[in-house]
Amino acid sequence: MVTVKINGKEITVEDNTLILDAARHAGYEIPTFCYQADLVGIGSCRMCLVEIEGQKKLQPSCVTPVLHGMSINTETSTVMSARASMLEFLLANHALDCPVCDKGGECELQDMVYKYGPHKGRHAEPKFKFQEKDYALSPVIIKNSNRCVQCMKCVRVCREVVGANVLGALGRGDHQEETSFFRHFLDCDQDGNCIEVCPVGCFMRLPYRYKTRPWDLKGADTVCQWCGTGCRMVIEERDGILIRSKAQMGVGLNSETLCARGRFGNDFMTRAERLKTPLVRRFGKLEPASWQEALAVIKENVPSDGERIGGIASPRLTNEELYLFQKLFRTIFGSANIDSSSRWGSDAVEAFAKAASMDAGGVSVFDCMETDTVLIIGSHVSDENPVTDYIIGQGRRAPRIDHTLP
Amino acid sequence: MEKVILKNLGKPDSHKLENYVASGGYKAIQSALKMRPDNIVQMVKDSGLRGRGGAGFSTGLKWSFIPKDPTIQKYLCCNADEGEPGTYKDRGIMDNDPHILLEGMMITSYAIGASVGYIYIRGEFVFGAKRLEAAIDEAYAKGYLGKNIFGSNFSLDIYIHRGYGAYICGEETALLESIEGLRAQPRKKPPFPALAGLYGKPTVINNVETLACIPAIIEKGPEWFSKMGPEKSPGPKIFCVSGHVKKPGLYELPMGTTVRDLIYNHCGGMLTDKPLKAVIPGGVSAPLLTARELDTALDFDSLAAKGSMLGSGAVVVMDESACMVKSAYIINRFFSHESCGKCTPCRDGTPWLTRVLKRIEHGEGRPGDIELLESLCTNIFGRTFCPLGDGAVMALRGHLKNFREEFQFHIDHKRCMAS
Repeated sequence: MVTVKINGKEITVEDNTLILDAARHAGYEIPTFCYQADLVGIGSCRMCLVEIEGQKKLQPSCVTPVLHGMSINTETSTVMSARASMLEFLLANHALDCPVCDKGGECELQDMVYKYGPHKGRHAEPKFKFQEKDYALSPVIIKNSNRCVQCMKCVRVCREVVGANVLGALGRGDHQEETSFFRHFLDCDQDGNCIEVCPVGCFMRLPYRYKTRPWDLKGADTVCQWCGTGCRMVIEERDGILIRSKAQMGVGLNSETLCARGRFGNDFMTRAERLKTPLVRRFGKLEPASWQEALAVIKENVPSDGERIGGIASPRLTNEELYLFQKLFRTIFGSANIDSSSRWGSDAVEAFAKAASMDAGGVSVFDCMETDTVLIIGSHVSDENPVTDYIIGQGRRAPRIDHTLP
Repeated sequence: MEKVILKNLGKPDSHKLENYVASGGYKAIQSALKMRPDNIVQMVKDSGLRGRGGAGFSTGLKWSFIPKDPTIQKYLCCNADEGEPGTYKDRGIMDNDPHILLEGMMITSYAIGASVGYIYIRGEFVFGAKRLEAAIDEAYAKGYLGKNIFGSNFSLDIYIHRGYGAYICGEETALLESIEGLRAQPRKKPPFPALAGLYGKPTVINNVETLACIPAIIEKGPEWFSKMGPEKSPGPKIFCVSGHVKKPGLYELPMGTTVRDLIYNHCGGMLTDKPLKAVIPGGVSAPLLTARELDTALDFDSLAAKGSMLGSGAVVVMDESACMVKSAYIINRFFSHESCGKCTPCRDGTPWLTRVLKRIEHGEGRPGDIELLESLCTNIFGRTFCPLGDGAVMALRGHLKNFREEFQFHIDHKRCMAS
C-alpha cells in the first residue's frame, strides 16, 4: 500500500495503482479518451495529464503508477489549460458535424468540450478530410474517419479483448486512420465492439443510423438471451420499437463487449417474420390461430396413454422452463418420455458436474482462466458463446497460460 | 587532428575487410575479448563518451543498466535510421567504412553480453545497406562473426533491418517496434529498453557514430579519449555542414570546436560575400544561433547553455538571403509530416503550426498570428509522448525569438524582408 496526496487529500491505495485510478478513488474525475481499464495503457490522448510536485513536465496519469509520498494535483490552472488545449487540438481537425452525427448527445468529445472548454476555436485553416462520404466496413458497421480522436480503442479492443485483430491504422500523423485493411470489408464476426468503445461518431451502427437521438431512447437493463454466457446489456426503445442493445463498461462479466447476436440480433422482435401467435396445420398448411384454438388441437390429439407421447426440450431453456416442461409431461400427460437435444448422456453430465465441481457451487469462467490449462469439450465456443470466447482468449493471450485446447 | 572515426574515408576500397585490417582494424575487438566485459563498460564510462544520436546520454552508463544475469537474452541495436534533415554522418561511415561499425558493435555486444545485434538502417540508404551486407558476409567468412568469434567463446550474429521511411523510426523505442514488425510508434517509458527492450529483453540502442568511437577507446584508452575536447563532452565529433559555405561536407573535429572555427577555418568561409545570418547547430530541431553567437563551442553543454543543442551535429549555415519565415515553415512542415500520429498535441498541433506558417510565408498572414504560434508552442511543448513534437517547437521558437521582426514584416507587408 502506498500513501499519496491528491489535491491535498491524503489517500492510501494498492501498490502500482495508476494515478488516474487513485484520483478517481479520491473523488476527482480525470478526463481521458484512450484509457480503458481492460486495455493496455498507451498514454496517447494526453487528456489525463496531471501535475506531480517536483516534476517539471505534466505526466499522463493513465500510465503513471503512484509512488509513495507523491503529491499530485489534478485541478490546477496548468492542468486545466492543458486539457483545454488538447481538446482544441482534437477539434482542429474534427469534422464538427454534430447535427448529422449519430453520436450527438452521448459523445465523449462533446461532453468534454462542454466541461473543459475551449468554447471558442482559434483554428481558422482548412481542415484535413479523410473522406467526403462515410463508408461501410461491414453490413452493420459504418465509419466516418473525419470524427476520429485517434484513441485507438477500436484497434485495441479488437486485438486485445475480442482477439479478431482485423483493425489497424493506415497513414501517419494527422493522416492516421484507424480502419480495416485498406478500408476493405472486415473479415470478422461483426460483433461491433469497435463501435461500443468508440468515444465519438467514428465507428457507428449501420442499423441505428439516423433513426433517433439518444435522449429519445428509453433503456432497460437486461440479460442477453442468445446464449448461456448471460451478458448484461441495456436494450433501448423508442415508441415501443426496439432500437438498439448495448453493453456497459464494467457491468456484468461481458463488461463493454457483446457478440454480433447480442448487439445486432435483437431486431427480430419487430420483424414481420416473427411468430406472434400459435400456428395450426390445416389441410397441410400452417395457419395462425388463437391460443384457445391451438390448445384445443393439442387436447384433441394427445393420446390418453402416456406411453405414446414424448417431449424434447431445448437445451437453451431456463431451469424454470425445463421444470414446467417436465411437470407438464409427468403430471398432465402422464409420460416419462422426456429428452433433450443436448448431446450428452446422463453419465457424462454427472462426470462433468463432478469434474467442474459444479456440485460444490461451480466455478466462474474467470476462475477457469486462473488455471494453467483450459479444456473445452463439446462446444464451438467462438460460435456458440462468443463473449465467453473473448474471456478465454484474453487468458490465452496472457503469458501465464501455456496451453488452451479450443 | 588525426581522424578517429573517419580515418579511412577517401582511401581506395576503404569498405573492404582487408583494407580495414591493413589500417589496424579488428585489433581492438581481439584485445577486448581478452578483457572482462565489465572492465570494458568501465572504460567507456571513463572515456566520457556521450551518445552521438542527439540526446548525449553517457554511453557507458547506458550499458551499465543492462542486467548482468548471463541466462537472459540481450540485444544490441544500432540506430542507423539517420533522418534528421542535414545529417549524413552515419551514412558516411556506413558507405565508406562499414567494418568500423561492425567492430564497434562486436565490442559493445561482448561488453553487454548480447549475442544478437541489429542494424536498423534507414530505408533510403540502399547503398549503405548493401555495403554493410557485404561487410557482414566478409566478417562471417573470416570467422569474425558467428560462432566463437576470433576463436573466443563469444558468439555474435548481426542482422540488417531496413527501415520503411519514417523519421520516427529513429526514436529508439519506435525503432524497436519497427524491428518487431509493428507500427513504428514510441513506447511508453518506463520500462526503459535496458530492462525491457527488443522482444521484451534487455537492449542497448546506440547510434552509428557512437559505436564507431568504441574501437579507438579500447585501443588508445579512455584517457586519450577524455582529453579530447571539453571535459564533460569529450571525444571526436563529426559535423555535417550544409548551406551557404564554400566547402560543405563531413568534418571530424574535436568536440568544442567553435562555430566560427568550423565555418571560416574548415569550411572555407561563407559561399558569397553575403554575411552570415543564422546557424542551426545540431539538426533542424536545434534552435538556431545568430551571427553574434559564432563563438559558441559545439558541444553538448555549451550549446545547451545557449538554449540550443548539439543534436546530431548537422550544422546548417544560412546567409542574409535566407528567409527565416520560409526556413521555419519548411522545418515545421517536415515535423508535421513526420509526426507519427500517436499523441494529440504533436499529431494535431504541428500541422496547425504548419498551416499558419504557410499562410504567413505566402503573404496571407493575419495580425495575431505570431501570438497564436507562440500559444500553440506552449500547448505542445512538454506535453507530447516523445521528443518529436518538442523538437518542432524548439525549432520554431528559435526562429521566433531571433527573427520576430521578419515574421511581423511578412504579416504586415505580405512579402519577404530578406529577398
